[in-house]
Formats: sequence, C-alpha cells, structure tokens
Amino acid sequence: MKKMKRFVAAVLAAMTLTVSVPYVKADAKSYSGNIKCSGSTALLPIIKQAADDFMKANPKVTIEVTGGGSGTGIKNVQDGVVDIGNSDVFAPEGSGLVDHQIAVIPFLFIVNPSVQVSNLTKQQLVDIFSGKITNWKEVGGNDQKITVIMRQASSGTRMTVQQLVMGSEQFTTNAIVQDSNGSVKATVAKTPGAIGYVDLAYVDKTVKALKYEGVECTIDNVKNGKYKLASIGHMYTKGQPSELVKAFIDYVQSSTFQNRVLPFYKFAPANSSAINQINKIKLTTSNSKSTNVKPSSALKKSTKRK
Amino acid sequence: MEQSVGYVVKRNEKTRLVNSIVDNSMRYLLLLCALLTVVIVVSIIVYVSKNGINVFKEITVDGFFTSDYWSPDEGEFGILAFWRGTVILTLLSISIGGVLGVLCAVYMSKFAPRKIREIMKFAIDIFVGIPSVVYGFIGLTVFVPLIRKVFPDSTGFGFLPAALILSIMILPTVISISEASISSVDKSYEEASYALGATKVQTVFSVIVPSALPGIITAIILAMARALGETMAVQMVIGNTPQVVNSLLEPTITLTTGIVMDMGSCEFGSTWSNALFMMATVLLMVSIILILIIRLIQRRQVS
Repeated sequence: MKKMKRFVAAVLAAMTLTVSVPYVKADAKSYSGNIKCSGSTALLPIIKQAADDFMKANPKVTIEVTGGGSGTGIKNVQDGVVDIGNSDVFAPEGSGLVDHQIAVIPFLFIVNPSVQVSNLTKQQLVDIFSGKITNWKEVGGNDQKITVIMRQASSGTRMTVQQLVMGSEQFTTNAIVQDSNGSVKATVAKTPGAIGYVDLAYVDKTVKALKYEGVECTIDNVKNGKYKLASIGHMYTKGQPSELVKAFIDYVQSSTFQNRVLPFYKFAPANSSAINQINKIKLTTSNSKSTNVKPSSALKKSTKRK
Repeated sequence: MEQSVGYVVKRNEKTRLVNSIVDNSMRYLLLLCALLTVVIVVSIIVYVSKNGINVFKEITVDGFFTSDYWSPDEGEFGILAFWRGTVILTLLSISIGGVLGVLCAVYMSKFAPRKIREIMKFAIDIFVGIPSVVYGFIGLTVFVPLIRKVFPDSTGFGFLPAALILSIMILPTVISISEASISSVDKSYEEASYALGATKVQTVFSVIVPSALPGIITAIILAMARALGETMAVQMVIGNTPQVVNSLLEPTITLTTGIVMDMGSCEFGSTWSNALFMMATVLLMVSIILILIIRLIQRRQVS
C-alpha cells in the first residue's frame, strides 16, 4: 500500500512536471494570428514545445513548425516563406537577417567503449581529426587503430568543430562520414576504436563520453563557461519581427523557458557563459576567413571559373 | 405493336448516346493519365537539369568532371571521386551479382526439379520486397564487422561491403528476367542440339544461353540501373568520404550517397546545391542511356 502511494505520488509529480512547467502567463494582451517557422532539426523539439505552450496561452494563435535543416530555414526566411528561420549555424555574412539567439547546444566527443582514453585536449583532438595521430596509444590509450567518424560537410556541428577545435587545420579525408547525430552515435558504438562528435542529447550508454580539456560536458559546465564546445541555436527574422513574432521569440527567450524547458532537452540557456566565447570566435573567423583555412591540397586541380 | 418497336428504338438511341458519352470521356480520362505521366517525367528531367546547369556559372565543366577537389567550404566542386565511385561500385556488383544471378537462372529453368523451381521463385518474390534500408542494416551489422575481422587494418567501410550488399540486391532482377528469357527459348533448338549428340551442359551453354542472350543482357542492364541508383543501403556501408581510393577497403563515396548526404542541409540555389543537382542530372542521363540500350536490343530482337 505504501509502495502504491509512493508510486501514485511519483506519477502525479511527473505529470505536473511535464504539464505545468512550460506555461505562458496569460497577460493582459492576447495575440492572434499565424506564425510559420522552419529550419534546424536539432532545434525542432524545443521550438515545437515552445509553440505548443504559446498556443495554449494564446488560443487565437497558430504556429506552424517544420524542420528541413538549418540551410532551409535561413533560405526560407530570406525568401519570406516563413516568419522565423531556425538555425544552429550563423547565417551567411550580409544576409541582412536579424539574429535572436535562443539556446546553446552543447556537443561532445564520444568514443567506442573499447577505448581506454577518457579525456582529450584540444591539441590531441586536432591531431586525431587531422589524421596526424592514428593510434590510441599515442594519446595514452591501448594499441588500437583510431577510426574517425565525421558529419557531412553541410552539418552545423561539423562547422562548429572546425571553428572551435580545428582552427586552421583541415579534417582528415580518411574518415567515415555519417549524415546525422543518430548515425554517428550508432557507428561509434559499433566500431572498435572509433571517435566522433554528437550533440549532448544523443549520448547514451552505448558510447563513452570524453572530457574536453578535463571538463565533463554537462549543462552546468556549459552555463558556467567551464565547458566550451557548443553551437548556438538561432531564430532568424527578416528585419525586425512583427509584434506577434516578437512575443513568441520573447517567450522562447524568457527565463521560464530557458531555465526549465531547455535543460530537459539537453540544451543550455542562451545566457550561458560559453555563448560569448563562441560568438567571439565566430566573429574573428568570419573576419579572416580567406586566410584561416588552409587549402586541402596544392596538388588538386581547382574547379573554379576565373 | 408499332408503339413498342418505337419504344425500343428510342431506348436504344438513349443507351447509345449515354454509351458514347461514357466512351468518349473515358478515352479522354485515359489520355489525360497517359499525358500526365509524360509531363511528370519531362518536368523532372527539365527541373533537375535546369538547376544543375547553373553550377557551371561558377565551376568549369572540365574541373567539375575531372577534378577530385571537393571542398564546398572553399568553393571547389570536383566530382571525380563521386562518379568514379558509382562506376566502380556498379561494375563490381554486376560482376558478382550478375554472374551469380545468370547461373542461378540457368539452374532454375533447365536443371531444377519443378518443386525446387517453385520454391526458388517464391524466395525471389520475397527478395524483391525487402526494403533497401534493411539491406543496409544487414551490411552495417554483419558485413562491416566481418570485413573488419578479416582485414584488421581496415575500418570495414568501403567498396567491398557496398558491392556485396548490392550484388545481393540486384539478384532478383537478374534472376527473374534472365530466367524468363532462358525458359522462352524455343524447344526445337534444344531438341536439335540433343539430336546432334550434345550433352545437357553443352546444350545449355552453347545453344540455349546464347539464344537467350538479349534477354540476359537486358537483365544485366536493368540490374546496373538498380545498382547505380541505390542510395540508402550503400550510404550505410561505403563511408561517404569524398576521396578517390584504389582499395576496396577504404571509405569512399558515390553520386547518390553524395547527393543524399548534403541535399537536406545545404542552401537551395547555392553553387553547392546546384552541384548536387548536376550530379543528379548525370545519374539521370546514364539511366536514360541504359534504357535506350535496352530498347535497341529489343528492337533488334524483333526484326
């Protein structure tokens, strides 16, 4: 009986947690209208959650949320097809879009459980991902070949890894490429000696999470700036948003949503200390883009029209 | 009496009118369906190639096809590694699956007892229904680890697992079409061969198979088209790395997997996206050529 009571209490607690957490206060002003957004699939769960909450509080508002990828989101909002383009990468320079940063998406390096190493420094990662180090014994592990698992070139996470970790070094070409967080995780889990990177939300027991520069990837460590690997979730609008769209973005940026809903989806709030660093790196790399990336090979024949 | 005759005539006229309306509208409906199919095919070709052509505003034709410098970040789009991957993979899987399939078809139509033939036909029907993602999954969980075990220095990804999976996938196409073609060779050829004192094996390989050759070639070409266009299963085991390799055990890429990796997330209308469209155009053209070859073979067979 006591067990039963405890069970019921637990269920009730769970229910109140999921139902009541994200609730927008019905303020004096009630909105009506239609908002369309599309873009990043990584951000999709939180945008959907935000849309549901906002529609609950404002029954006359409908919000359509679709995925399609960050590139699609940016393109759609530029074309005026949607009101908000969600993206986990920065919009291209000179796109004229207004950036609303809504979340920090931590990512981390994962390895196959057979790998003995549990921490890697930035330099070690650069050496591994550029192909200079090919055996785990060179970074303190056992004698085992390293298999690098990458994301495809258009992946936002890959671009962020290039900026935050690789800097001017090129990724090795001798790597397995997978086109989603889920398949990177699955491949790392199945391939002995494999290393890859995924968003925090995708990590489970089938893979081993690595510390970066001795710091574990947790929401708290991202908040306080100790953990430095993350991408930024953006909502882009074409020019300043309309009143309704602004109200929705304000809700996503509100402290209720940021501090109570985001961690549930393994995202860190947009005011995390890590965000400034990422923004700063983005700024410096975009200013010196032409000199920053070394050409992959002088031997290869250029395809550009002169 | 007269009245009733008039009534019958009238009724006949009425039914005739209704019939002709139904007839005509049905004819137009069918015509519309047929036209729609043609319109769809033509508009797909136009749409894909129109977007694809745009890539040559930024990229040279020569560079696009003959360079292996694929680095979208730097604005370099050379697809050598991609089309080379498609060609090698298709040839590999045809040489494994094609040979296996034709021999299997010979056995089925000329050697197998009726019962075994029925069972095999049933098995092949099941084969056709297996979705490609299932093949890919088997490749990823069975072939890749197996190859890694046999060749411990490799990652297990590359041409080899992809070719093995594809050879299995094209088997039903090869078997069913070549079996039909071998079975339809006129009985008199076979009897004439026996009458000349040929053994069964001699008859099959020097009389029946050559006579069925047009059908067998059609089967092989259709299987090539299938191998060429396969995406999902290949993507799961080939490694998807845009590099030119000279080994069966290094990760590489094909046209289809290259398209599917980046299509979703690169910006529509960019050079990158246009390059992917051009790759799709190349695939489209190659399969059109393959279909034309089949047409040619069939026409020669008739005449």
